[in-house]
Amino acid sequence: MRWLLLATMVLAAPGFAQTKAEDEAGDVSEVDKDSSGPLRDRIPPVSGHAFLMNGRFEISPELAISLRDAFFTKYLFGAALTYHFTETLALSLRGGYTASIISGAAQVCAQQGACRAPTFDELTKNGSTPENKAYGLMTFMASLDLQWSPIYGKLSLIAEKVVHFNTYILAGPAIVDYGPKGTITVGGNIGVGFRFVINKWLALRTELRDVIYFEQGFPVTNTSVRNQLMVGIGFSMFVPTVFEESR
Amino acid sequence: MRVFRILALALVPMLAMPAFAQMNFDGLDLNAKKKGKKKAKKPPVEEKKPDENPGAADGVDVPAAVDTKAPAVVEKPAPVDTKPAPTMSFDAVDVAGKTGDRQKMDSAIAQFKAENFEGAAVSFYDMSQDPKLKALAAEAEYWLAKSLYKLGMYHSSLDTFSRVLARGDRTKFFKSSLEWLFFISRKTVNETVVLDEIAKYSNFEFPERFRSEFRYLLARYNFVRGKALDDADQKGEADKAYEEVKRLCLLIPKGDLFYARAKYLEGLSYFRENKLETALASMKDVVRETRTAAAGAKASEVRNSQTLRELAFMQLARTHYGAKQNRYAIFYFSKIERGGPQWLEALFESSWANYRIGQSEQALGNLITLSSPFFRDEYFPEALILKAVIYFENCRYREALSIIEDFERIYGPVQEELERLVQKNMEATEYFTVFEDVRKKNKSGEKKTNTDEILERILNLALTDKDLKKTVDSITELESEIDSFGSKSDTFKYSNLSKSLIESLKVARTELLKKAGIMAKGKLDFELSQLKTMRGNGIRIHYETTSKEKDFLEQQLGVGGQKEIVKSYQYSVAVSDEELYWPYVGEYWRDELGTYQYTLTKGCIERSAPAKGE
Repeated sequence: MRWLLLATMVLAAPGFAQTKAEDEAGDVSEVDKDSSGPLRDRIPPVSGHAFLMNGRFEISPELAISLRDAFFTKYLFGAALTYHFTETLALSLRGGYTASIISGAAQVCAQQGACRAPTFDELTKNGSTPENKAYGLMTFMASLDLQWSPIYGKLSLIAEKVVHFNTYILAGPAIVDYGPKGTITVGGNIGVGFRFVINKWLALRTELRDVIYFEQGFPVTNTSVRNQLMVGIGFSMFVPTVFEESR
Repeated sequence: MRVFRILALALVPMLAMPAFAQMNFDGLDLNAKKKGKKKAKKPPVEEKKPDENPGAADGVDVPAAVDTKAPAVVEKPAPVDTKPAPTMSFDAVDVAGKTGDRQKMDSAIAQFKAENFEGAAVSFYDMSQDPKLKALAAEAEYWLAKSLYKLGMYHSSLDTFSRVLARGDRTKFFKSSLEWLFFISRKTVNETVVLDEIAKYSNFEFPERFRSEFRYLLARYNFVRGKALDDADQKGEADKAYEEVKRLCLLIPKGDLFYARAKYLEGLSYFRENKLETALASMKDVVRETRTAAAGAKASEVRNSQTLRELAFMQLARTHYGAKQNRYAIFYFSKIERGGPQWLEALFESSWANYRIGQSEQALGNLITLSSPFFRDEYFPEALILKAVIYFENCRYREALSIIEDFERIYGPVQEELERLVQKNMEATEYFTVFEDVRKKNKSGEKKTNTDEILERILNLALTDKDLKKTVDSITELESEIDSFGSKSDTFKYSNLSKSLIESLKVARTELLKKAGIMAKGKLDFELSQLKTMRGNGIRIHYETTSKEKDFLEQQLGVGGQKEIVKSYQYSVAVSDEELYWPYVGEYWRDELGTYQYTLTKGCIERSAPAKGE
């Protein structure tokens, strides 16, 4: 829950920055003046960019954690390789190993007794045979995503530090290895993320994604559509490390 | 008695019947008002008998009031021809009593009314060229001019109306043609193409509804003339022209649509005479008059009004700057709308005013906007000189030298190219052709050579002259009109009319090219001398900087490297409650342009020193 709150705050930050600018600029904000003024007709919103992605590779190690898990909390250690065809469009290949631990929400309760956290075996074995008794155990996932980055902006942190960011959304197919028997299935994932620019070749990346796939439970007739929410953070290194502003 | 009354009542309609039948027989449609839609099918009813007042009884479509709309074709039912029928001949038998020539004219007018303007224009032209129809030539030309106007061929229309006017005021189409000139002036990008023609007939009385517009246009004509005479060092004649400007402007009443524009011209005329207070009063009148747009004003009128308002602000600011009232100047410069046509000029000029009162941060901040990639092609060479001066005065010698070197690197080749162009002593039209080539390359996106890039800078520079720009726009408009023949119907395209019009347009184009060439050469001469002066200043700053730096180094050596001339300034990034502070990190955001302030962190100026210039 704390993670969700943090993620929401991070996601809401750019929106807040915009609202603040509008409120503080008076009745007609500079933003509104800009949208109706004559400059709009002849010049782009930004030039001399502090950060551009067009034609660059992005190598991005990341750490993600699952949200709202009933049985297992997953920690994903992965990396993504992204190529930016244009300033707004990119294709990304990513993969990651997932370490699953029993979620705090999972409880085993006696019929008239107290509840306790289940053991790993209780959730993954039927007797001594590994079975997918509890949904959400994941060991590996990979995906191919199309990214669209329509928003480039900057934030003023306590009126002292300027942070440039961009926002992207992504969607694409995914392969998921789940359950104690290592079942592989195909699904998809959608997500939204932010890159906070550190310098011309390095950015901090945060991302919220929903991995959607079908999971077969135990007994095998039980099938569930999984919506695995994951929030991640990572660093993005851009190659080449320099870029040229095109007018 | 009662029987007699009944008989009398019955007799009256019986007696009236033959007359009614006769009226019908004559082709008069007494129900014309009720059958409005069928009007076009009955040309004899719509016949216009030209009389001495074509604007009224003739039913000529004279534009309504002062309105920028194209005049609506409001055809009034013409009075019935009461003249006796002409001597009967075999080919002129007509129940309405008209000649065959008249019928031809009517038929062409009917085409015009049916909005077949191309067909009508060809017919009118043929009639105007037919020696047998000499009596109708003026009328044919008049309608031809109207048809061309309706076809959007304003330059051709102007040329044709000019021919009607050249026939003198004895033709019944004279006054109407004169009025049409106003409408053409509203449609063309450069009203000055019409001014010469209007000025020719300045002695004639104009209808009340056009009087102010006429006076304004005439004042503008005299203003342009006065400026040209000043350029030619004919001061006496120029004085007369400006006197005429003021006289004509005084005749335009307050509240009139042309009042603000007239006041602007008046203000400029006073400014020329160095009557600064009167000039300021006129400009303030312009500002007051253009504060709110007139109710129901069109977008173009509102835009024109806004442009005029900004020009008035610029003039107010420059006048105050000239009188060393820098804070007033800054106040008026700040009134210029962000991103508007005058904005960059205002930013640059206010930099000088800011510098004069010691606000170097604001001056340098304005220059940041000017140096943004958005305005890379704009021509502000003096911006670098100002920047160098500010750094020099703050004892930042390295930076000052580096800026002067930048200036030399950028503008040295521009001056050389300017000199090469001016020394060539080409024909006026050739000057324009040089620019035109660069302009075409720009449009087509062709790769430009270094010389092209320099020429492009010079082109941009030349186009800062508003009159030249308007003339260039006018040439473009004229060329579009020539090109528009290609999209017309074959009947029109391959007619003698088209050949004749294209020939006339080409002559007009050559005239305009010549005019533009003369203006371009004049502008280049002027800018060359300005650039020479600026480079001279640059060299002086370079020399001064080097010698000051040398003195400083010598002093430093004398005290064993202990002396520090440059001190850290105290500064704050605090802003008012209505502002937000965004540090500049080399990135230009459109909504931040014009708001930059450069923080000078070190220098040698005592900050408590009184401000200069005021």
